[in-house]
Amino acid sequence: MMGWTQMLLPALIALVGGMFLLGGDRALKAFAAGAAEGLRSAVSLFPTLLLFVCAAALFRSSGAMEILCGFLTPLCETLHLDAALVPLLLIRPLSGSASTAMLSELFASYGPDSPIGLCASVLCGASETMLYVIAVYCGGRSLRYRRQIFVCAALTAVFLSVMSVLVGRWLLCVP
Amino acid sequence: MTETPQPSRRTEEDIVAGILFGVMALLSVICAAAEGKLSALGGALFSGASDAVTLSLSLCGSMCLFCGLLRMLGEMGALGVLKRILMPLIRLLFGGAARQGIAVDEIAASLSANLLGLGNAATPLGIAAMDALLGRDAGEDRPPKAGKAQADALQADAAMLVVWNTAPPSLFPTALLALRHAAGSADPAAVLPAVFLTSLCGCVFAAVLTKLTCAPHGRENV
Repeated sequence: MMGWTQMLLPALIALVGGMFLLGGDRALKAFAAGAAEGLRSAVSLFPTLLLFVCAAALFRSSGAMEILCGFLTPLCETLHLDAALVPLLLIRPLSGSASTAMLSELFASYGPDSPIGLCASVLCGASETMLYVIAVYCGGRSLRYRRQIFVCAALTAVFLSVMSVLVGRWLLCVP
Repeated sequence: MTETPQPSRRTEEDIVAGILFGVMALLSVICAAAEGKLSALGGALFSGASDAVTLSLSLCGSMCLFCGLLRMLGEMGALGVLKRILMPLIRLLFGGAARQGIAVDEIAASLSANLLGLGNAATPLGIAAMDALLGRDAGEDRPPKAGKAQADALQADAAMLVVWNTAPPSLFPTALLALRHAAGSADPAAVLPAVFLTSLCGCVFAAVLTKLTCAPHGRENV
């Protein structure tokens, strides 16, 4: 299972290389436009990301993280859940920058290929920031199904949290 | 994990950021005082700040690269192909729009952008789809000439679009790949099948739930 996923990126690279050759000028213009968008996005992400990374660093260095995980460990053990994942699980639907910061913290502490790192990766890859999506899509509109939207999104977020941990553990850590 | 900054997003995100930072900072000070680690806090702040820059830079490079590549793929025709593939799905999930022939192109574009991992493009496209469904062209809601049942069907489709976007199927989580690589992962793409599987299940779950809860009145022929 591990072997073939290493082919995915090279395959994409080959495909893209081919398209550059075929597309010529149009391909390059499109690439530039997309890259500029990516840059704008990354730059505007920076301030809140900065805040969250600093907050996480403070939290960790003061020992508050350990205390928090200590509180959560008994509950997590009954659920077979790593306590370190809980802050990320809670934050993910609320803020993209915070979950990015927390994800890289987890990578730094446990490694991206550890069980915790893999579960966290699946969670962050598979879900979106619920708060942001709802705010942007529903803001300022009169929607008939407003309450249903929120409930469905919230339930889905919970479902995704549970499933990512399960999938992360069973699919990635067992073989 | 890719988001476009929009005016309303900055407000929501900033509020959350402010509150979270405030809470975490205060808790950290209290904790550090209790554990005698107050002197470590200043150092943590500065190393956190420089870590944030490193993180952003590695994210930035990869995000630019992948956004550019995927947009190029999109403009080279992948979008057209995707739209044809997506039509059956659109007819299933966005029945009102499909039957009335409203907003179908916008929905297809939004779904395609999500699938291709062009999160930055997906948001404006999704908003355009919402506008098309709910008639916000002139800042007004859809006029009643459309008929209540039909308007309800479009409202249900709008609800589906929103919920879909909170849990879209994720083929190319580019920011995640960038982060994993920056953290030194031996195989950043190892999580891709798992991510796709999970996001797909989440998407199906969301779609089913929305279909069940957002049923417009008399939807037989609209």
